[in-house]
Amino acid sequence: MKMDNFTKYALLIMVIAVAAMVIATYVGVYVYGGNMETKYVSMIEEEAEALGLNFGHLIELGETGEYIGFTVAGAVCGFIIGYIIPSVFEKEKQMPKGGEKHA
Amino acid sequence: MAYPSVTKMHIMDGILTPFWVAVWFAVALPFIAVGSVKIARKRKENPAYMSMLALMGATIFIISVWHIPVPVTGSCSHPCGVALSAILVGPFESVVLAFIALFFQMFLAHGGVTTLGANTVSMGIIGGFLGYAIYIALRKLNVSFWLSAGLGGFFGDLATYLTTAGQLALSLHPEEPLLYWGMFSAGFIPTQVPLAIIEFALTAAVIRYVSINKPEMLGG
Repeated sequence: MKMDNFTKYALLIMVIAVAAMVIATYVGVYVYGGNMETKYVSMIEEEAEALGLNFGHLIELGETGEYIGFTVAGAVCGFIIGYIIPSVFEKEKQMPKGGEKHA
Repeated sequence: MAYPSVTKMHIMDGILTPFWVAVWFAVALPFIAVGSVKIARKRKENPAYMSMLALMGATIFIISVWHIPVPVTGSCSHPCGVALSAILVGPFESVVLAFIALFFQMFLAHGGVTTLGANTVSMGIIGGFLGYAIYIALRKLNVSFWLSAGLGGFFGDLATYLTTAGQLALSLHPEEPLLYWGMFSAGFIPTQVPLAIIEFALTAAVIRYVSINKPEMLGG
């Protein structure tokens, strides 16, 4: 089966993006000693704790649950986007010159 | 070893005081109402518009929960995608999409019910409208599609987070909001600037693709 250009480039971008994120994570952890938490959120959480606020989420998924939830959400959105893109960007087939005469 | 953790973004429940919860909902609702009316009108005129809307809805949803690691700060954050959406489907319509995306993100422990209004204001309204305004202004100056859109994405992204910092400062420290706005902003800017650059590239690339393959979507 021949792969069309759009699928080929989408796959290529996906592989490069995932590789870049994996490398960035490992550099962040091993070279810069970070824990890859969102620092800004940690700051806010510390502030809220200091003020005695009771904060949280509607649903707490836990670490494993978040990995599963984000994976499922990513897959579903990927399928939706992949399903809709061809219909949005399809080009109208142009009738060859004089085509109507021969129709 | 410290494993990278999937952390939460957007403001979560319990952080904002009831007064600010009400204020941000009051600000967001008129934009959502106008956006809904515009969507209904465009749907009648062109049923194919709904495909584009669904595409952008899924795109905003996934971009704004997409944790991207920033190695030099040892942390992660995410782009927003609202400038891209505002350019392609319209700024008011994009607010509705941001609201829906934020609603579903609540089920991924991302954001919150009481903070839905505040998160819609920062991401959907400020980020989307500023990104769109920059894009339109630069296009009127005959700047190329990709650069106009890229800068819209870049500043839309940063504006979202500066607004979030402002919302937090106003609610958590009403006595000195400016001081705390600066402190909160300083906390995330090092992580957010690299992501704003990624948002620049993403928005520029998509709009360049659209301008070549479907220019009528950008108004010619």
